[in-house]
Amino acid sequence: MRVKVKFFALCRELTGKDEEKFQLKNGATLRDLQKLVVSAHPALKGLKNTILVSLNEALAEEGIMLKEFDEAAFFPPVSGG
Amino acid sequence: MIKITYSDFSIDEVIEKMRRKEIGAIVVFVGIVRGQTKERTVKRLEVEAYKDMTIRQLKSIREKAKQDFNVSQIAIIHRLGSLKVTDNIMLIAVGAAHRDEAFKACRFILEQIKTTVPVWKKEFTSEGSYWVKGEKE
Repeated sequence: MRVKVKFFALCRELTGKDEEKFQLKNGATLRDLQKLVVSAHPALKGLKNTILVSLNEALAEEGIMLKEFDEAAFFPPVSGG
Repeated sequence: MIKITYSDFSIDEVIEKMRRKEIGAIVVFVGIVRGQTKERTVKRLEVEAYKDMTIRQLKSIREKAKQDFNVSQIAIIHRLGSLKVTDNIMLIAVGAAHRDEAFKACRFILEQIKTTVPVWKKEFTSEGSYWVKGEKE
């Protein structure tokens, strides 16, 4: 299945991309996607412990199963306001 | 009203739209661009958001604040893009029958935005540019 990943703020700068599509096996979880994204973009490794990941516009647990055409996003802790 | 915008906003206009006979207090918080961070002089600020998720989160925060604090009117506006020192960044306005719930709800909304809404600020200073650290970093 294909999943779209968006990158914001420092994650966007480190990957050099606004978004990217990733191919995963059926039954893959958000944790699997995280591993795939970090291996494709080693620059994110240093941020690994602080990166937040959302799924379909809501913060999500790593164990959640992904579906075809899901939209995930990787970003650092928020600093708005 | 929930809005993210590249334009400035009028605080007066927002307040005028909130007036109702049942409202006795409107508490307003306005975040503005500070010209100094630690020893660095800030020249400008860039604000970026995950727009769809931001709108969704702000709506959810508004509903939670209405339920928990018995307030009836809530306006939240967050600016995006390039801002200069002293510019408005964000407005929260809360209208309620009495001041106590309006103050509490306004504070709740602010803290929720600071920790859960996907917006990021980058400061451009005399010594280079830096992403502003999140409250949870």
